[in-house]
Parts: sequence; C-alpha cells; structure tokens
Amino acid sequence: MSTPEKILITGATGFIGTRLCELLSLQYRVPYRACVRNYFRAFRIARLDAELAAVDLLSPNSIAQALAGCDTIIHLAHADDDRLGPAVTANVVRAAIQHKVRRFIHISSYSVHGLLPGPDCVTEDGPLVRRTGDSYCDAKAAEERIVWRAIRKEGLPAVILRPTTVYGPYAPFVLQVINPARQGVISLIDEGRGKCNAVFVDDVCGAIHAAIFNDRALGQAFFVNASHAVTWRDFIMTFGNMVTPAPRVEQFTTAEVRAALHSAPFGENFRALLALVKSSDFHRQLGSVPVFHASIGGLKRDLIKYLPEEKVLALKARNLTRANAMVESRVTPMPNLGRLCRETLSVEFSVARAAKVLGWSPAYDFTRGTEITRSWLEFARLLK
Amino acid sequence: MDPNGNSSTATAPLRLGIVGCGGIVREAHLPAILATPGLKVTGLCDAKLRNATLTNAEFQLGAAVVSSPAGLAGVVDAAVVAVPPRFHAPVTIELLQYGIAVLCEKPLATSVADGQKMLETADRAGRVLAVGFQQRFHPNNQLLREVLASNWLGEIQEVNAEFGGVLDGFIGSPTYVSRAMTGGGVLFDMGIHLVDRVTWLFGELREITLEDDSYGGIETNASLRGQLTIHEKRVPCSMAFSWTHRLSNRILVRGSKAAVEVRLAEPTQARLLCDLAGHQRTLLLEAEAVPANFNPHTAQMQDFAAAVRERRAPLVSGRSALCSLVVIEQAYRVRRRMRQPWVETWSRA
Repeated sequence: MSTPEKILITGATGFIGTRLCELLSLQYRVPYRACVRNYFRAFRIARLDAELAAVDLLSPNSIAQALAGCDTIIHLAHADDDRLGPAVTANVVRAAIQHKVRRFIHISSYSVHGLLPGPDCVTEDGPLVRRTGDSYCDAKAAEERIVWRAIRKEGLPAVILRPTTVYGPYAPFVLQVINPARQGVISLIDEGRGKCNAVFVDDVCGAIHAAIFNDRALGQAFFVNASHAVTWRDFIMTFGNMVTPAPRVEQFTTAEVRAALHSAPFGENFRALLALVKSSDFHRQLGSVPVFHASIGGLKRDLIKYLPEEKVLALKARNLTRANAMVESRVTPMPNLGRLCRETLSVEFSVARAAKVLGWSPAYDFTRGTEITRSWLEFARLLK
Repeated sequence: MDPNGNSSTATAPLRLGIVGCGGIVREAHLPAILATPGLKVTGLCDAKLRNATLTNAEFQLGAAVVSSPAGLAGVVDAAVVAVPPRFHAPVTIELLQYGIAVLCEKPLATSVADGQKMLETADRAGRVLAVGFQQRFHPNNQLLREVLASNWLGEIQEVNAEFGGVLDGFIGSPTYVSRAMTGGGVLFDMGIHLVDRVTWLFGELREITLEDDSYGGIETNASLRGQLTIHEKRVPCSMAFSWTHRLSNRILVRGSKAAVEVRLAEPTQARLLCDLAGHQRTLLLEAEAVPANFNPHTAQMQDFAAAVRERRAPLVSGRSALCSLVVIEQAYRVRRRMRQPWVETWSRA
C-alpha cells in the first residue's frame, strides 16, 4: 500500500499509542489523527503538535466523524473495563467497513491464547480462547474474532498484530518492577525461570509501520516479539537492580503463590464486591431485570441533572480510565494472578512468520532496549 | 457607595461575581469565598449556562446566572475570572470597563502584550486587578526571607525550584493541550506559580535559558535557568517543571554554610539543612500565628476583598504578576529542545 492519506489511531494516549505517535511524527513522517478521550492523558502527544480528536469509541457517530479524511486505522484501543473491549472493537470495525478504509491494523495480544498458552501457540495458528474466566484474555480473543469475521465476511483489509510483553519508557511492565524496587523489595516466581517474551516498544511500532505498507500481510496475524526470549529473572533483576539502593529479592514458588491466591483476605473480597457494585457493567446486567431497569435509568438521569458537565464526563469515563501506572501505590511482594500466569510461561512466541511475510524483524535486543529505558527512568527520577 | 464607586456600602457585603464555573471554582475559589467574611456571590457567568446554574444550586448562592460578562455589569462590584487562559485578557478587560474589580486566575494572559493591555485598562478604570498566585500567601515565604536576611546560610550559591507531578483526573476538552488554545505547557500553565514566587522573593531573573521537550506542541518537561541577584551577588537559579513525573516540589536555597528548603505542600514550614557537629541535620522552622486551617486561596480572597474596599493594591497586583509572564515569554523565545535519547532512538539505531 502507498503512504496513507491519514491514519486514525485509537488508543493513542496509551503506552504503545503515544510512542507510535512520536515515531509517526518524528521518524516515519506519516500523517495521523489521534483519538483522545481524556485530554489529561494526552499531554505527551500534545508535545508533537499532533492532530487530536475527541472521540467516544462507544459511539458509532463519534468514530464516523473522526474517520473523515482517514484511509487507515490503527486500532490500539481496548477499554479499561475489559468487558467493553469487544463493543469498542465492533464499533471501530463497523466504521472501518462503512468508510471503506484501505488498511485496518488491529493490535491484539498473545493473551488471545489464554492465560497460559501451551506449546501449540508457539506459532500464530494456535487456537483463540473462548472463555477462560480471565476478563482480559476473553475480551482480547473476542475482539480478534470480530476482526477475523470482518476479514472473512466483509473483506476488511486487516492485519492483526499480537505483541508479547511490551517494555520501554513509560511501560507498565517496567513500572511494575521499578515501583516495588523503590519500596525495597522485588519478587521472583520459581526463581524467574519463566520465559519473558519481552519486546521493545519501538519494535512493536516498527511492526505496525511494516503492516501499513506490506500488502502480503493482509488477512494474517503475526506475533510481535524479540528474536530471543529472556527469562523473567533477567527482566525483573535487570530493572530492579537499576534502583538505588538495590532492592531485596523475595522468592516464591508457584505453589506458594497459588495458595496465597486461594486464601485472599476479607479486604480483597470486600474491595472486589465494591468494584462490582460500582461497575457500569453490573448496572447494565441489573438493568436487564425489568423491575430494576426503570429505577436505575431514572436515578442516573436525575443524578446527571444535578452534576456539572465535567463530573458527568468523568463518571462516564470512569470505566475508560485505567489507574495511572506512574502513580505508585504500596506493593506487596506476593505476586498476583496476572504475574503468576505471565511469569510461569514456558512458551517462546515465534516471529518467523513476521519476518517472512510482514518483512519485519526486531531491531532491538534486550540490552539496547533496557539501555534506552534506563535513560528515561533516570530522567523521570525513578531510580532512587 | 463603596470605595470603587459601586452600590455596596462600607458595611454591606462586597458583591462578587464569578466568570467561568469550572472545577477550579468549585474546588478552590468558592470555598475560599465562602470562608471570607463580607463577600456575597451575586452573579455567576459561564458560556455554558448550565455550569453556572448547577454551581448556583450546589452552593445555594442565590446569584444571578448569566452567559456573558456583560450580564454582570451593575450586579457585582468585583469578579473572579476563571476561564481558560486565552480568555483572561478579553474577559478581564470587559469587566474592568464595567467598573468591576478583577481577581484573574493565573497566568495573567497568554502574552505580555495582552497583560499590559489589562494593566492599562485597570489603571484607566481605577479598579483593582489581582492575579491568582496563591503561593505568595504561603507563610513560609516570610521564614525564607528571615533566613536569607540572617547569616545562617553563608554566601548564597544557588537557588533551585521544582514543580512536577502526573496530572490525573478527566478533561474532555483540548483547552490545556492545544498550542492554538493556550500559551504553553507545563512552564506556562503550572510552572508560572514557581516563576512568580522565585522572582517575587529574589527579584529579576536574567540571562534566561530554557530547554524543553516540545516537538512543536506544548512542553511537558522544562528546565529554566538564569541568574538572580541576591545580596548584590549573582546567584545561578535553576527551575524544573514536569507533567510526566514527580519532582521535588520545593524551593531550595543553598549557601556556603547551610541550605533552606520550602516545600510546596508545607506552606507554613521551612527546613534548614545544616551541619551540626559533623552531622547533617534538618531543623524545622514553623511560621507563627498561622490559623490551623490555613488556606492560601482564602488568604488571597481576603486580601483581594480588602484591596477593593480600601482602594489599595492587592498583594498580587497585575503589575507584579506580569513579571513571571515576561520571564516565560523570554524563555520561549530562546528555547532549545532538551536531549531525549529515549525519544530519538532512531539516531542511535
């Protein structure tokens, strides 16, 4: 495909999206429009004098307006509430079909293969999960199925990319090590022997860039990973030991973490219950019961009447605002379920197809990627 | 008639209006207004009338609600202007022309030229123009001055000031991120508090240099340097600002014998950092006679109300507030891009 007229980027204010905007503006020199929901998250892309558009991805009209003049979509957005992810993707895919875009790049994840992908998932042909019970995996798989369906039934000119564990400046995975390290303790599971499929963020952007131009990639999915997987010990100790003073390292076995997860204290149960009661998804489900439907809707309408505009917007967006990864909270060395699954992975995702078909190979090894990340961590004063 | 020639009498409450009924008004200005005796909010103005109506109801103000500043003429004696920065100049000038004294949110304007027009209008109208630099009301400014006046620090060697933190919350408009809609990024929008405080405390900043991380848009990190004159000696001054990460959020004055630090979050305290018998010690200095519930917004509101009544200059006059805008405008003229190897990775690829 020739250079796009203009790219519409969803999820532009996220970790990968922001870096992509930087590279599109400064290196690739391709015009784009960045979708923004909350402008407080858009400061870094506002440095670029980029074209920003306020877009509600839950509103088809809003997406259609944002698409004016664009012939390519890079769909990075998920949703802070995983359960809304498929609805967002369905809206964006529908708009892409109606608008007849020339290229649709869907940023998926290796999580479409579940919490603990097996050896059959070393290549992209492994099965997508349906219902694992993990909301992120289930949502990402559902989103990818929406894109596959559009490729097969509607001829959507799409490329699907499945990045692995993406790191770099501002990366949540890096901050998940740095924050506890600054509090004095980091932890390893099974001595950190699990495969960490760490890929540098610029390599992910490089793969996206390749997917824009390479027509052979249409209708296919590609893992976006480093050439060689480091272990989680390499990843955690490399970043943890950047911090001064060096943190203490606590070791856990898989069995210990499982046992701790099964005996979650009352506080965690209460917090989970509170989150459920506050979630708009719960309200929607409750609203499907006729007797609750009218009263919930009425209550919300009454509330909106008495709230200023920005409070209403903030409430509407509460499910789209992920906890700011830069804001530190107290951490416990005991890994959570997400860490347990990620860090006990034994699979190394292959980038052979990406190299052969997409014409893309990673340019950054772990040493170079961590050097660059370290320069940002020092600037951001996160190493002391 | 009140000292401004308006209808309030000396004993009657000062009639106050608010232009722009956004979050900062509800969270900072209105609590300060309600805590200031002798003020009555009689007019609320917002281009989105609904915001003004809801504010009126939320705080049970019973004020007139209007959608343009003209609606406040004859209804208020003084007004708080809390609209986005690009509207500070036109709204303030209009209000002053109606004979309404103004406490304008910072920054005074998006350009020095606009700021000067505001000052000229205030002078012609004979009305008070104050600017929302509440940090000047922090009681630890006086502590800092006393330490500097003493010989505790020895020869002053440097001044360092920092403001930085990740903004959280929600804003659905590009008002503060679009270069076309605002005067700048973190330096202009939040850093100006520190620039104002440093220049107010130590005098003119000269030989200004600025490095920031802008690539044509607003800056989210900035490093401002210059020279101050303290005790008739040139003292290097460095200031850092960030919207992407936390900084020390303090002013530090380092001398040959000791240093003094005031933290933005501790407005009534100063820390003297010194060597005592070979040990690095921190002595906490506490401002005296400060109310337990000290609030710099309330302190400024009280000063503004008194300035209007007494026909005197407020502590943060428009003229004194213009200095920080002059520094920032000069700094933007000489700005250079800071080194960001984590951004320009391709140059090493």
